[in-house]
Amino acid sequence: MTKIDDLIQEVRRELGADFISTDIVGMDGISIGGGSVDPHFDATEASARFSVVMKLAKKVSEKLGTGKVDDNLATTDKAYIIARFIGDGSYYWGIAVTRDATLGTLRLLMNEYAPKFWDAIPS
Amino acid sequence: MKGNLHEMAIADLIQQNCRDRKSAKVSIEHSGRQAFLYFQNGNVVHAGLDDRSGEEVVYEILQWNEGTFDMESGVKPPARTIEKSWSSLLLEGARRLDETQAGNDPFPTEQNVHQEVNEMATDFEGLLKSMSGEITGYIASVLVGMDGINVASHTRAKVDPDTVSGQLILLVKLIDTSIQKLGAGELEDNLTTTEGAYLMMRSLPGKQYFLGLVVDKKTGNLGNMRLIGKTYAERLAKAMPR
Amino acid sequence: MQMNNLLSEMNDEGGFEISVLTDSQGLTIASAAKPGMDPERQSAVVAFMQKAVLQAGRQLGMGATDEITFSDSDGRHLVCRFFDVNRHALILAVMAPDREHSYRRATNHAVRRIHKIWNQFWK
Repeated sequence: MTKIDDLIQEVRRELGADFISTDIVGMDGISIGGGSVDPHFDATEASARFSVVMKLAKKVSEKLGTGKVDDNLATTDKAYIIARFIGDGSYYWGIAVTRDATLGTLRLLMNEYAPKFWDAIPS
Repeated sequence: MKGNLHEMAIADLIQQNCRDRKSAKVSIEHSGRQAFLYFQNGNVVHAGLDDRSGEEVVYEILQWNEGTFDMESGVKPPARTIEKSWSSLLLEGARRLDETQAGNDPFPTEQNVHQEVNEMATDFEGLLKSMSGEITGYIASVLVGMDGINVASHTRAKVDPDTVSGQLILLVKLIDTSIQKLGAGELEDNLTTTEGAYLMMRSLPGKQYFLGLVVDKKTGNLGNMRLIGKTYAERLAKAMPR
Repeated sequence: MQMNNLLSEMNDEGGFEISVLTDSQGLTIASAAKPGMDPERQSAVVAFMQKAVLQAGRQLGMGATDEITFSDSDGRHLVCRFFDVNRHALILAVMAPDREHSYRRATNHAVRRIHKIWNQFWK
């Protein structure tokens, strides 16, 4: 198992039953690690789609003059989906959790693990 | 650039070209008829269809939802027949479209119609202003139709509300489409955290409009923003005309 | 700002280091804190604690929990008051520096004021 896989397992354990999916994704939309526990949630498609979302979020923030994008949180009636840039912004970390998850602790978790994922990405 | 009105509506074409401050000519074909739009420095300056020109052409072609378009950059307009700002054109076009769909005369000339539209906008602005007092770190808010038309806005800082609504609608539409394609449920709200601000977009019930909020990151609180935003989205929805 | 000021006054009254008013998702609605304290972390943690406590209460067949206290060996205690205003679940959490500082009067007063303000708002 790679270091990224180890970290993903840790994140999954932390989130427990609230976990749906997680991926570390390059801005080309290709995941370098992760996966989904929900057979109906296509992690590959999600990775590709949200890389486009994050690119647009970056452009939007530039046009509005609000600086670099940290993350994007979409709340649906079924899930929370967070995509967060890591390191120099050449990758993002996506997580989908159920609506039972506590957003505040999820954000704390992401704050803690984002730099670890960045360090684990092979150069 | 060529395209299809199924993929990109005329309102979106106008909005995008104006926001990008393009100078261009767009030829639009629909059911054997051909119209022209000329853009210059961020505005629509001339439109032609058959032997007519000006604003009325824009209002008519905004109702076209099938056809093709072809854009040529850098083409100078042969005349200037439109003085109205692009956002006013789209707002008036949307209003006329609503009336057409309701079976009314699509080209009213009564003063009271404009008054009704202005009164509605004032009610919404009142609500947005009231909301601004409840949100810590508040910068700006917009009430926008899913067609991108800015219905009302309230800003504290030097922020262009049209820019805010235009950018947020692009993002929320992409996210909404992505969520739907993934079968991940119905989008309720979207929150983008940036270095300087929180950008929140919340759909009003019915998903015809959304509330956009910009809050300063240093002084704002996420929980406060979401809670107040949700409450005012419901109030704005209640204030919508039936 | 009204809420932030209310919490600030409560901190002065009770001698608290930090207080947060948070939603059930752990996102801060209002806060007042000494420099160096982290309201975002406190909000996230108390919401997580509420979730755990709710589950524990259900398992034990207990009624709704309205308060929990978390104490450390130095005598600091984190007090969480859970309450609803207009069907919105809120948490008021304060950190008292030691057992000399009584929290009950100050938090009771704050909860009453919060009820009054939010009830007006949601009328």
